[in-house]
Amino acid sequence: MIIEGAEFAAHSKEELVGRRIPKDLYDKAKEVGRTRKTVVSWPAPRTISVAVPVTKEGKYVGIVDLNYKTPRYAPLDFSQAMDKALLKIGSVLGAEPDAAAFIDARRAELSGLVQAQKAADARFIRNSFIFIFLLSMAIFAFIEFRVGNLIWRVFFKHRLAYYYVAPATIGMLLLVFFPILFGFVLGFTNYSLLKFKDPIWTLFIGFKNFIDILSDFNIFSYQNFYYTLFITVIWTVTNVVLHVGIGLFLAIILNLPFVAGSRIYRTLLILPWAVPNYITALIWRGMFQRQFGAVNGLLNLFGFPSISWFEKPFTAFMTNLATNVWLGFPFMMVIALGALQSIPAELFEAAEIDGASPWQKFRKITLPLLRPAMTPAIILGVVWTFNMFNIIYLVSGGAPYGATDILITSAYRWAFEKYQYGYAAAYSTIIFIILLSYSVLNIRISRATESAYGGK
Amino acid sequence: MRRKKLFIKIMIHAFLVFWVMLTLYPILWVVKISFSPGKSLISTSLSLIPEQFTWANFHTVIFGRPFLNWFMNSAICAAGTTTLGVFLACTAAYAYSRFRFPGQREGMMSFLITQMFPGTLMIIPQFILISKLGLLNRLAGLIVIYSTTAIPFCIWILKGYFDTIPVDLEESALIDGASRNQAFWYVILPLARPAIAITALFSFMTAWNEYILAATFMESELKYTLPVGLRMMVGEFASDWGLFAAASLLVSIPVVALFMSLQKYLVSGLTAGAVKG
Repeated sequence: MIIEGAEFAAHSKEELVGRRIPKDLYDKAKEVGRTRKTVVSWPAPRTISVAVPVTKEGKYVGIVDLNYKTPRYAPLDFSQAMDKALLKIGSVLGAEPDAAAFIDARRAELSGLVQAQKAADARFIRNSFIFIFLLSMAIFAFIEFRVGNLIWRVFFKHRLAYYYVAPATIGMLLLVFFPILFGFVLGFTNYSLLKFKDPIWTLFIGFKNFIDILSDFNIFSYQNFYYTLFITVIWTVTNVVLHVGIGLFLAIILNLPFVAGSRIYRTLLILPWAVPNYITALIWRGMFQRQFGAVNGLLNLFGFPSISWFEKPFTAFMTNLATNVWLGFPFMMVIALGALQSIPAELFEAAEIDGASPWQKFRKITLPLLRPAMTPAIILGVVWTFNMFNIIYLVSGGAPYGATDILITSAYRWAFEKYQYGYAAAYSTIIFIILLSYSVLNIRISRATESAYGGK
Repeated sequence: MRRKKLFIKIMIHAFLVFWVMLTLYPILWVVKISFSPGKSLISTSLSLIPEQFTWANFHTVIFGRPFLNWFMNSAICAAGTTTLGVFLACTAAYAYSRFRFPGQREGMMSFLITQMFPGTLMIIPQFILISKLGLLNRLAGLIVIYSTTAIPFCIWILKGYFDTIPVDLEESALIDGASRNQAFWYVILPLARPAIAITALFSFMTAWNEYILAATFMESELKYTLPVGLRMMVGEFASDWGLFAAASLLVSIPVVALFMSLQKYLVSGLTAGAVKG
């Protein structure tokens, strides 16, 4: 007995979804149980329902409808899901002797794998801890050797400070820095769904993932790293420019002394910031829907034809952009308002007396004094937009064919849709390096210009 | 001259009203759909008033599913995250602002750096850690993870704000015989109210809005938080927008209300440090 479909469901969902099932078989499947088309929900599907064609000696004997819970931590859970799925096939088809034997064997094998995986993970964690501990001891000993008990004295002298910092630092070390470190290490392995039974230190492959990612210059493929990087940069720049432009413009208008009711406007304008962003994304996806979406409704009102927004890369990109601009301008507006309100009125009065025009006042007083508040906000805005997962994943979903994916959604797909953890981790490390170098460069430049302006 | 000024005023208000409409339209659209009967999305009308008015969607959402359960979970999770997160951030930010100690600069930089690593890729190691700590499928696990992810941003905001509070205030308290802890608790914290309100708000929003980690760590349906439950519901009813809209509103209302009630602190809390710093 061959269980077709169920096997490769593990490796490629698309393949399974794409599989056309003949109508008579589909009808037969209805007799067997509930049938639904594959439901792929976000991010990792909770439950997949698949109609799996089952063959025996090369002939279809029927379709089994499988509902299985999906990869959470994929290697472990997938095997458990498969386990249940296979059992179900057995029960639906009346568990012929060979099927039952097969299922038993498979079960045993899978539970063995799960145990092995759990043990391997535990060992890896333990060894990493030991490694980090030894490393820090080594560093400590090294310093100890050089500077005697200075360390202890420093610690003792500043014990109050360390006592205040300790709770947050311990939490961060354990739950943030350790996972990041783990991610870096994973980037040098070929850890994947197929390799999950191997202990992780047998999987080290050096820089292969990084070389694979960076040496592929086929930029006409939507999956190519440089193409995705290009899209990500365009995405970040357009977003941040629009956020800052709109936010600053609105802030300046709202700060004009003769505009009545600016409080009310401000309150209404920051609403998008308050709405949970995954809800925003789903709302906007609905508004760009071809048939009933409000955006096409508006186009029709002005006599334009409806657009299938998610079919072309450019229009799909615009849907993401529109959503994220709507979502992001209030933050910049609030920051700019705060900065504007902190500018002392005397400066403007003095400029007035000296006969400065409004434009000169804006150019020479407002803009330079906005800089110290806006620079960190912009750096943070760039980092956040660069890694803005929810909007891309939920609005366009990378459609068409990954053309509008940015680096982080690509990395996510490698990890949780293609189960190439090592590759995905290398991808993330590259994202991290890009952002880090951007920020370092930016801080350097802003420091340089600040001193040029004669600031601190 | 006066007429010119009036004209400018009218233009500005026209622009602002237009922009407010643009901002509010998507929200009002959802409100409309939530009060419309099931299949009425088929109409392409742009009007924001439902043709037929019904409470049915809200009724189905609240009573048809363990919605109230999820709501409680989210509330507990958000409250826990806010308390823990603000506590951790306040103590650390205070030290970074008031003391000079080795590792200070490195610490602040490393907090900033954590914002750059793609969060979604930390899921696997975090999952392993949480299961080793025995916190899988427990709200405590989510609280711990959320409060640590919210910390870096909170510390930056709080440190900036603490920097603007004159040191003399504590020093006089210390001279009067207060301990460091007392000075921190009774002098600094009350003065830093705007910044604390903001960090509390952001910690709350982190917990209330987070989806992926909750979906990964929570196994049984009764333990889901709202985003996970909502997402499951949308998946199940496939294209029933009425239910989605009603659920979205119910989920958004508490956080929007909180946001609006704290918004007077937004400007001062967020920018005080940056402007003076």
